[in-house]
Amino acid sequence: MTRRKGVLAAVFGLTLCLSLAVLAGPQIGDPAIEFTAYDVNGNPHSLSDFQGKTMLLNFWASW
Amino acid sequence: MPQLGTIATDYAAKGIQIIALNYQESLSIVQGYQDTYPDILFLLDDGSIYAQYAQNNYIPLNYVLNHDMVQTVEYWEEGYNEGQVLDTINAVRSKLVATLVQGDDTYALGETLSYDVHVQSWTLMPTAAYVVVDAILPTGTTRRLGVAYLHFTLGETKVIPREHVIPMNVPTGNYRIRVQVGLPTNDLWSADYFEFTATP
Repeated sequence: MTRRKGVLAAVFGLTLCLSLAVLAGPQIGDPAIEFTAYDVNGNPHSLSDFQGKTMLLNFWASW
Repeated sequence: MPQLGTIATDYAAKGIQIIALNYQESLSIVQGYQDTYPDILFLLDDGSIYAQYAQNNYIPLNYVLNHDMVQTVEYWEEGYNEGQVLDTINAVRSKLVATLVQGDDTYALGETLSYDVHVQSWTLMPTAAYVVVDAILPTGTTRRLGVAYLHFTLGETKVIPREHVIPMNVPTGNYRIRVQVGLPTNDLWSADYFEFTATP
């Protein structure tokens, strides 16, 4: 019985690890991940340039 | 995107920055969206940024970030639930919002740099905070230009005109003027900046 519980615990732990691996992006309470990207005029913008502003980041595509 | 477009102007006026990261999209298409929604900053992403933020490989993906120093994630969602996004933004947004209104883009050494610091209260409660203005030189060095501790009544906006003679002995190149509002040492409520070029 104890061995069976151990196996179940191991399976549960493995499932949890795999689930966490899928959730790769930052979670609530984490600092945002710094990046630099270019606008349509070729000017670079870094996320840290916007420190001090409440922000909405929207990843999307029209296709 | 049309959903975001409807809130963009209203939220830009409140100092909230909306950035759209277009995933693997052509420049011409993104240019069209930028022209249509000027209050949103559109950035091109080859996929490398999305790869760092993706949760379950679903697009669209939205994040609300705090105005603090580390830009804490306050909320994320796959898809777009405007009510949840707006509720989060309204819950976390700064009590005071600072904006800089720039004079010219270029100044010669010895000329007078002029700009206005606007600080607007978005809270119904009286509040007070430090307003700090710095110059970041082309060398990366930061030079303090001014500090004030200001009190704000309900919904008040203060406008502080600033002028500085640019010394003849500083380096030419790109300068950044930055305003930060908050409390010592790391409680950042709001910030803004503009850049100008100093010429000989």
